[in-house]
Amino acid sequence: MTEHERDLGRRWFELVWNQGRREAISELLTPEAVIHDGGTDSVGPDGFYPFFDRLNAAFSEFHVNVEDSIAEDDKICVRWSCSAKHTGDGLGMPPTGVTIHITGISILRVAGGKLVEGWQNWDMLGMMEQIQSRAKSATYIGAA
Amino acid sequence: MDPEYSDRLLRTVRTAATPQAVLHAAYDAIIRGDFAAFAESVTEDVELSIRGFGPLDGTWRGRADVVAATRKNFAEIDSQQPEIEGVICEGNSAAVLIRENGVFKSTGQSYSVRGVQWFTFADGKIQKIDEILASIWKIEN
Repeated sequence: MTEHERDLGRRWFELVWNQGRREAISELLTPEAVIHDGGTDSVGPDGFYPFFDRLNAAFSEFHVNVEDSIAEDDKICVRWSCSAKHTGDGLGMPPTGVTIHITGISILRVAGGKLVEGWQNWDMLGMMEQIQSRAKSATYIGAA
Repeated sequence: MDPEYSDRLLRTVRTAATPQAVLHAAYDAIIRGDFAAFAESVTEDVELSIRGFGPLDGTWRGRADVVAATRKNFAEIDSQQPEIEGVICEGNSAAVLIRENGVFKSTGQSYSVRGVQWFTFADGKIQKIDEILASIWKIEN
């Protein structure tokens, strides 16, 4: 794995989430890339945009901090924390103004300098609890 | 735990590499229900954090509390069918992508989760376990 590929995880969170650059999704993700999020899979940038748009319609002031990163063969694993302010109704509920703090661990497979597969693991339940929603309901914010 | 799955789980992490060997010993101990052996695979100041899976979520610090929490958590579920989908090791860290089906003993509800366990090692033992389950994607009555 090249240093460029090794850095893809950090760049993903910096460009897509911290800078909110929607176009960075297609720069970093291949059209065939599969993103696994819980039991839901999305394919390519087109499959990921709804997830990105929905979260951006619900939150602002995203700040993702990459806490640690390891790599082996063609995979990268990134441990991260995130804060964001609940300022929109993108989750189907009125904004609360609450700043949420969540953590996640993402595994990414890289090839040819781009992300070709990803497994998103993040504390969705913790997020829902913090915005005082029906945390244990079946609400699911999948990538697809 | 379903023997088919426990055997496969152990085969997946069995290797001579130090972090994976420690990981193997820890998984093996838990599968056997030997929590004294599990205690031997963690440091005195070990920390365990589980998030994203309401019923078992929490943070525990110190060998006694972590072992007790692990024992309690495993006592609350039945018919566990864990599958390791990938292992990434580098330096003193290892990340295990895991998918699991099981049943809550108290309610009889079945569950399916996917998550990552991030292990940090020190002095040949597990010093930190950070587990994030990618939310419950299916709970059946």
